Amino acid sequence: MTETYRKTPLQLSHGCVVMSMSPDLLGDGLSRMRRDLLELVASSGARGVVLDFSAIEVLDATEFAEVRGTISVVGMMGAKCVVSSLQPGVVGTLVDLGVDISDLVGARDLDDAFVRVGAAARDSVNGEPD
Amino acid sequence: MTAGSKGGRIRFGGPFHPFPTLPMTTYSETTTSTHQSDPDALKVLYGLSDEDLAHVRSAGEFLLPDIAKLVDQWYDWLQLLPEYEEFFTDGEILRHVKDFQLDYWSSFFTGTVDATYVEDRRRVGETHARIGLPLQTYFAGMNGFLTLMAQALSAGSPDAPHGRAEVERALNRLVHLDTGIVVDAYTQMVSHTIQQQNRMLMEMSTPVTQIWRGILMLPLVGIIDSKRANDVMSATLGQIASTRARVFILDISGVAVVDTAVANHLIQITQATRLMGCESIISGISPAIAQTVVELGIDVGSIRTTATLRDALADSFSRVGVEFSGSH
Repeated sequence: MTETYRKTPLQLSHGCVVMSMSPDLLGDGLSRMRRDLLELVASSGARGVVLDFSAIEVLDATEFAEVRGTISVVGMMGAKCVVSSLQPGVVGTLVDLGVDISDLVGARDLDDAFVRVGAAARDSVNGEPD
Repeated sequence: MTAGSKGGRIRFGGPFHPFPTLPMTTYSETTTSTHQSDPDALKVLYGLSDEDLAHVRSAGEFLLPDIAKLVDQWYDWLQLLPEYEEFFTDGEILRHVKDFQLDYWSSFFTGTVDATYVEDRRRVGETHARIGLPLQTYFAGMNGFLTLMAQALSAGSPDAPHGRAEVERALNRLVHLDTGIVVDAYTQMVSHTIQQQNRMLMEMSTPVTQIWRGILMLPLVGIIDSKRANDVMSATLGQIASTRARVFILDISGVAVVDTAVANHLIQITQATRLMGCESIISGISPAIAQTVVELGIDVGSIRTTATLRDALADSFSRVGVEFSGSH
């Protein structure tokens, strides 16, 4: 178990769990990532989760469905989930293909994501970004 | 394991073509099909045999000595057309064009259709396209010259080549081949110009501007179709990523018609910007547009809309934390 934790890029920051999505961990890796993420959310009692997409330039349909699933599971555990730093190309094609994205919360960058995750996170952020 | 290792899936996004579903070939150069500039293929296309070319040469032996007279006659005919006033009034130009025409017919009567021959005709087409000479006039002109040549041949001179019918048919074929090359070059030139204008129009139609730190604005003018909406979205998302804007004002006061399709495009754009952490404000909603949208039963949901650009600006300034003293 400790080994898998080391492989999944998870960090606790500002009272939130930050998961850096990396191209290598998408696909089959996602289900393992999700398990690790949920365990950390449960054990840390974090109220917010930030999925950082800054390294993702391509996302396929199944991967996006997986991400969606992760977001709703995090929601069921009582934490708010924010997707951060999505690339324009990814967003553009999601909309182009008619994927419903209206219920997702997006953030420009990590600072913005911490603000959007909500009160639980905001309390520990020192001041507003910018 | 990499995400790219699985086949058969729809990919979202990509490093080089952010919008792979867009027709990327829209602005590509017009492709040249094989028989447009290959002399041999052209000869086959117009049924021009070596025998025909020999006929053309024999006609040339008869016609070329007096070709200047024919060209003059042709200009007499041309003077009757309204286009003459527009293109040939300058004496200098007229002399130049006449010289050019003499060269043209000398090359025509050599009866050698090779790469240079085709290239010369293409240049004629490009010139006509550049000066905007109507194709109609060009066709009529070629037809006129063909008639003049036939008249000269039938004048009954003892030097006239034998088998007039065959000679005329050969001349016809070669003139048509010339016409085909010229028209092809003409239309290519015109469509090239249209492509350039399209590209310019696209760049001019999406002026996403940063008007304040964290605030982007795009005044939309004209008609929104799905291609334009795509252009707008890609320009906007790119700017949001590079400026990390918090607010995007989309001013639609200059948009001609807002129907279901346009409303859907606008909703999609706002959803996309929101996913990048940038709130959209749609400003310039006129009473007519508001009424149409409600009548069409379009759910604008949580999209922030304002009647005037001023309200949108005030709203965005308060969102990025800029305070003004006094009322706005």
